[in-house]
Amino acid sequence: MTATPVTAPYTYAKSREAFARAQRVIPAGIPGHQGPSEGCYIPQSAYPMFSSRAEGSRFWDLDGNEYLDYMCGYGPNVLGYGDPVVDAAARRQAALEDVVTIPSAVMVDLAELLVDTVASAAWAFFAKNGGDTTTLAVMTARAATRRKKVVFVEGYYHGVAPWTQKLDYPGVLEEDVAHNLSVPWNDLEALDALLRAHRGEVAAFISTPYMHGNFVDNVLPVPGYWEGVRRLCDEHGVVLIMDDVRAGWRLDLAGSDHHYGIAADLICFCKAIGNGYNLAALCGREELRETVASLTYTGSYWMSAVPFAASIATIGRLKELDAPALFRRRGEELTRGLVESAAGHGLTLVASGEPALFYLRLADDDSLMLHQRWVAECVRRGVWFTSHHNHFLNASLTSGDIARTLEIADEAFRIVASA
Amino acid sequence: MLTDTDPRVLAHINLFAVLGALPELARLAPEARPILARVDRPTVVRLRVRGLPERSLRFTADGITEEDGDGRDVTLVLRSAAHLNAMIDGTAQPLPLTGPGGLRFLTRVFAPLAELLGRYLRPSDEDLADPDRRDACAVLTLHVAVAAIAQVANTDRSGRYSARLIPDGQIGVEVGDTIDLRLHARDHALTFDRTPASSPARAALTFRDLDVAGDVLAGRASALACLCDGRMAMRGFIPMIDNVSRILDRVGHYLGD
Repeated sequence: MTATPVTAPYTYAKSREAFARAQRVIPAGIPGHQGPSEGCYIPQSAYPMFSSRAEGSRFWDLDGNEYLDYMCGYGPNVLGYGDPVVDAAARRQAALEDVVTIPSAVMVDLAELLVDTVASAAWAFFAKNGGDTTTLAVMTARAATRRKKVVFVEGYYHGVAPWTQKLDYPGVLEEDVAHNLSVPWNDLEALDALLRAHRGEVAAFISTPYMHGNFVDNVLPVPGYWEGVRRLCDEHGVVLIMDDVRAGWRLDLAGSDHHYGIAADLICFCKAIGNGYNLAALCGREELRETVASLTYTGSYWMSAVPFAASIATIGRLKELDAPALFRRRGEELTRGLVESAAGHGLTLVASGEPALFYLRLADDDSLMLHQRWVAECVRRGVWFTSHHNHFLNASLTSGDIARTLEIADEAFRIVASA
Repeated sequence: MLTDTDPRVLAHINLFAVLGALPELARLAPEARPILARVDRPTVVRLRVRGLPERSLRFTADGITEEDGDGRDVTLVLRSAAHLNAMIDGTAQPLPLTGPGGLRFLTRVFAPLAELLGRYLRPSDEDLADPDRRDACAVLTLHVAVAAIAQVANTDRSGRYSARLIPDGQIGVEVGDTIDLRLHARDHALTFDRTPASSPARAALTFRDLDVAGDVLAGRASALACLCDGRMAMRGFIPMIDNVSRILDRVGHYLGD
């Protein structure tokens, strides 16, 4: 019997040099979720800091190390980095115009495509980031209902605007979050009780299509949950906002509300909508069209034409590929293989959430330290998993990529199991 | 983020975290030994503050312990949380209930130790230039900060909000391989366990060394920047660290300049 070859762990000298430069001119070097702190680089020494190029399912760091990327830029890479069809559409549009004094009619083309594609959409309003659309959705709900309160699901994340943050966050005033209420996920009784207790005060219920919070197993809706939410929102005149920023375009091209059998009043998209070209969209039902039109809400780059063209090409490719079905197959193949591999080393890996956005957790200790060590060993060998967040699949991922992933993951399981 | 502070929370911090550092001061500070040598017999100081739990510290020539017990009784009465806070600031005096020996103890032992504690918690540039003194200041500041985290988590409105999101388990606050202080979370209340850690933490926040700890706790360096560049590290169930960090920020509202 031959011994399994051992992959040499990566080193990151050039990344560290660049990070030292970054620290001198950028607060914290790399702030936010793509940096070592919020990105949970545990230990920090196991991770590179900067990429140098990307293609398909892979990126390469500054030191030339190659990664099979299961974060996909935290979601935008849905077809593969540098998808030729999307990039060609973007180049054609760039040759014509991008940011101009008045918008390109390609914006109308994309709005028409969204209205035709997203089941609950009668219109589309464009912006740049997911948080632009969740904020617009809440403003719309408040303007439409003339009510203040918003109901969230515990463990929520809807961006970084002050209203989305918490009482104990620096820079956020108590008044910013004074009208925030919350209920547990999948708990219709709690939602019913809350809406009764605040009858006539609640403008909106905002939620992701399923509970894909960080550091915990992700939880799908129980049967009847979303239908119940829809009924309660209708009974109480509450605007139902689906935050589909993270899951959108990976579960159902008609929207994740459609996937789970309801029509939201407002649905927020970003991430995968343009395969990396910077775009976000709020779509909604007819009755809210005039309310949205009445709001003061705009931005310098919100009508740039290149992302519109890229998005049209992206959605077209996703339809051709029947991407949600592809993601389900690939996600199930990968997670099944990972769970089996862990079991082969006496470890229990839990894969939760939708296969297209699977969340992983080694359940052999409740501290996640074992899981963090395993993820670090994977990253050091060329598979980019995270220890805290759900993952993302892209359509260029092949069965060969998955097979290589499983080899590296198995080696990492062996290392942590024998430590 | 609350923009105001609560005098009652500050009083809890002063009573349990700041004065709670006296036993550590006695162990760490060479200047404490000659002061403690003046203790002619074991003396228990009881701090009685209206609206707060009573606090006892027992002084002997060998050191200070957080306990009641045998010995001369010295009770310091403070009429309110604000009165205690003013005493810690040096702008008010407590009402002592004791005999002549107790009064001598207060002027010859308690007051000099309290002043020494203040010097260690707010070191001068000259103090920081001495490596041993700098390390001792950092250790004491760390003890006060971790103890204050527990007080803020249990009594402050913002702290309780953060603590509500902390599950049961031990949180380690480490400095290199030498210091491992523990906060115990149970039912969203935190306690600072001053005894040596005896079981693995569920989450840990690690300062590379005492210099980093001192810089972060004094506000000279950002914890986030230190986590990014490796001067600090975290591991384990990160929501525990995240929420303890938020409480630590809130501690800064009370103890910062």
